[in-house]
Amino acid sequence: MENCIEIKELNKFYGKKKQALSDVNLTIEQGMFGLLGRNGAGKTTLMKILATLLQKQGGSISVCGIPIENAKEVRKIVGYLPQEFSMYPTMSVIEAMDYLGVLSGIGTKERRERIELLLKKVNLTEHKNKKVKALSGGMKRRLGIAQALLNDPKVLIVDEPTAGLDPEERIRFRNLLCDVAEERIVILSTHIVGDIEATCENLAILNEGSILYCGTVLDLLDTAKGKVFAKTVDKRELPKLKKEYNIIGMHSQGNKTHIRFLSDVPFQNVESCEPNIEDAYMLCLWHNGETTEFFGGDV
Amino acid sequence: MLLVKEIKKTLFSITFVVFMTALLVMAVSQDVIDFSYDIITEPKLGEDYGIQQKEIPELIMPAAFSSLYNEFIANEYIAYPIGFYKNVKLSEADREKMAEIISVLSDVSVDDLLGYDVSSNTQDKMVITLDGSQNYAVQEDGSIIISKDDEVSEIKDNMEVTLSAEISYEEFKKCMKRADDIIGGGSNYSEDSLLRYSYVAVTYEDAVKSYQLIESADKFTGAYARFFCDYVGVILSVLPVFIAVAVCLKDRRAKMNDLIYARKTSSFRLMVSRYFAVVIAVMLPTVILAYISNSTVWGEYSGMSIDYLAPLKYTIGWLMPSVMIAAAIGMFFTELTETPIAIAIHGLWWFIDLNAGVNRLRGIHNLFELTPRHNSLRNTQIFLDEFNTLTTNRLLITGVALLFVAATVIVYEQKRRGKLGSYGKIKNYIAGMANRKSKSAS
Repeated sequence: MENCIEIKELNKFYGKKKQALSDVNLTIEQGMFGLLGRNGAGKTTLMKILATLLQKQGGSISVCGIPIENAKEVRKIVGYLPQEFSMYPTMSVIEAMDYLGVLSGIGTKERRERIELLLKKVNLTEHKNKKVKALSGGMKRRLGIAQALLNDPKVLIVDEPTAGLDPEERIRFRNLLCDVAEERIVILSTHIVGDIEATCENLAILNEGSILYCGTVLDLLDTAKGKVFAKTVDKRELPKLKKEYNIIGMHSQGNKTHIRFLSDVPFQNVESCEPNIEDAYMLCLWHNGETTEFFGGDV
Repeated sequence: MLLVKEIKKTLFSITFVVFMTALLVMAVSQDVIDFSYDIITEPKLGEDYGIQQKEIPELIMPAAFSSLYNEFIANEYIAYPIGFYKNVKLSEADREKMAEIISVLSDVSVDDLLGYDVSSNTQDKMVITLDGSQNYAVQEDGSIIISKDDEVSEIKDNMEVTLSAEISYEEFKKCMKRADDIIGGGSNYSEDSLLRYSYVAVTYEDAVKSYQLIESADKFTGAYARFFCDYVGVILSVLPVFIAVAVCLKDRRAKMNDLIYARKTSSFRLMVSRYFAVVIAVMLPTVILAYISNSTVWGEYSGMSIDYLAPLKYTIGWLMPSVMIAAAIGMFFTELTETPIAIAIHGLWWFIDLNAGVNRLRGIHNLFELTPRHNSLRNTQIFLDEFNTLTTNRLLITGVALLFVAATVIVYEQKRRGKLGSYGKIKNYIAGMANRKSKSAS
C-alpha cells in the first residue's frame, strides 16, 4: 500500500462523448512498469491523472497510500517528465534546474547538492552553464529526467521519453531509467515496444482506454509461445498470404520473402518461432479485435 | 526565494527592457528627470505671479450662461464625454428641457426661447426660428447676424436674454449640472469645466500663501515628487499590463505548464510571487528614477527643512496602486484566457481614463480613476483638498487589484487540476470571435 499505486475502476471522459479511459484497474509496484499502447490509447491521459494534472471522473487512485484528490501531498512524492518536455530556452541548465527546485520546495543547500548530483548522474555536468536551447534532443531528455528527480520522488512518471531519440541516446536513456528505478516506482509510458522489453519487468497494454493486459513481461511472452510462425514464400504469393495470415514481419530475399505471422492454430511444415514482446503485443491486440488490415497492409 | 527568482526572470525579459526604455523616454521627454531649471522661490513684491483658476461666481455665472445660450441657439454643444470631441445636437425634447433651464436662469419664457407664437403676441418683434441649417453670430451690441442660403441679413434682436440677478450660485450650478446631463456629460458646464470661465491673476498674497504651503506641507521635495508622479503615472498605469501578460504567457511559450503544474509549490505562492515580482520590478526603477529626479533640487534648499522620503512616499502611495491594478488585470485575464486580451481590456480603460482627464489634468474625479493627475508644481492647496478622495481612490484600486490576484490564484489552481482547460471555452470563444471577424472582413 505504501509503495504502490492502486488504480480502481478509473474512468475519464473528454466532453460528454469521448471516453479516454474505461474502467482501468492497475496495481503498480516498485520498479520499472511499462505502459504500452498505440498513439491515442489513453496513456498520456493516465499519466496526467497520476501527475494530478487531470481530473478523473470515476474510480479511485491512491499513490503510495495518498488519495489522488490530495494533490498537494501527491505532488510531493511524484516526479513527472511530460511528453512534450521543454524548459525556458534562455535559461542555463543549472538555472532551470534551480528554478524548478525552488518550485519543488527544496532548501537552498539541499538543492545545490541535489542538482550537482543529478547533473552528474545524467552526464550533463559539463553542460550545466549551457542555455537550454543549445542542448541536443538527447541532452534535453536527460535534463528532463534530472528535473523529475529533483524532489527525490517515490514515483517517477515518464511519458514517451524516447520518442525522437537516436538509437545511442535511446539506449543511454533506458539505462538511466533502470538506474533510478532501483528505489522507486517508475512508470514508463511508450508506444515503442523495445523500450519496455529492455527495461521493464511488469507492463500493461492499453488500447482505446481499456487495459488489455497487465502482468509480467515473461507472462506476456508465454501467451505468444507456439503462436508465432515464420515462412519463406514466393513474392507472388504475398497478396494471398496477407489475407490468410496476420503477418507481423516481412523480409525480402531476392524473389523470396521471409514472413513472420501469428496464428492460434499450429502449422505443419512451418517454422515455429520464439516470440518477442512485439509479437506478444501484436497478438494481444489481435485477440482483442484488431483486424488483419491493421497488421498487414501493402509492402 | 521564489520571489527573488521571479523578479530575476522579470528583470531579464525583453518586455522589461522595453518598459525601462519607455519609462526613461517619458521621464526625459516630459522634463521630470531634472528639476534644476524650475526652482520654487519665495515670491517678491512686484513680480508676475501668473494666473490661476479660482471659483468666483461673479465671473463664472455670466460667462458660462452666455456660452450656454449661444450653444442653445445654434443647437450645437461642444462636449468631451469620454475625452474625445463630440458635437452634440439635441433632440426637440431635449432642446425644450434645455430651454427650461435657460428660462429658469434668465426669466425668459420657454416659448420665447424656442421662438413659438412670439409674433402673435408681440407685433413689433420679429419672429426668428433658428434651426441647424442657419449660421449666426452674436454681435457686441446684441444684434444677431444670420446667414442662410448665402443670404446675409442683419436684424435687431429685441429679445433680451441675460442671466437673472435673482439666481444664486448654488442654483446656477444645479442648472449647469442638469444642462451637462442633457448634453451627455463632458460639456463646458460640468463642475470642472465651470472653473475654466474664471481665471484671475495670482496676487502677491496668494503667491506667498502658496509658497508657504509648499514649504510647510510639501517641504519642497513633495511638490517635485508629485509632479514626477503626475507624468510618470500616465505610463505606469498601462505598461505593467504588458509585463504581466508576458510573464504569464512565458510558461506556455516554453511549454513548461505541465512541468510547473506538477510541482509541490502552491498556486497561491506561485501566483502571488509572480505578481509581486512584476510590481517590484516596475517599482524599483521608478523609485530610483524618482530619487534621481528629486535630488536635482536638494542642493537648492540647503538649510531648509526638506522631506527626503517624499519620492518614496509619492511613488508608493500614488503610483503603486496603478501599477498593481495593471499587473493584476494582466495576470488574471492572461491566466483565464491564455491570450494577451488583457492588454486590450486594460488598454481601453487606460485610454478612456487618460482622455477623460485631459481637460482637467488635476485631481480625482471618480473613485475608479486609474491615473490621478496634478499637473503643476504648485497648487498644493488643491492637492490637500482632494487628498482624502485620492487616498480612497488609491486604496480602492489596491483592493480591486488584490481581488484580481485572488481570482488569478483560483483560476490557476483550477487549470492546474485540469478543471479549467488551458484551451478552455473562453479561449475557444475568443478564437471563434476572431475567426468570425476575419471572415466577415474578407
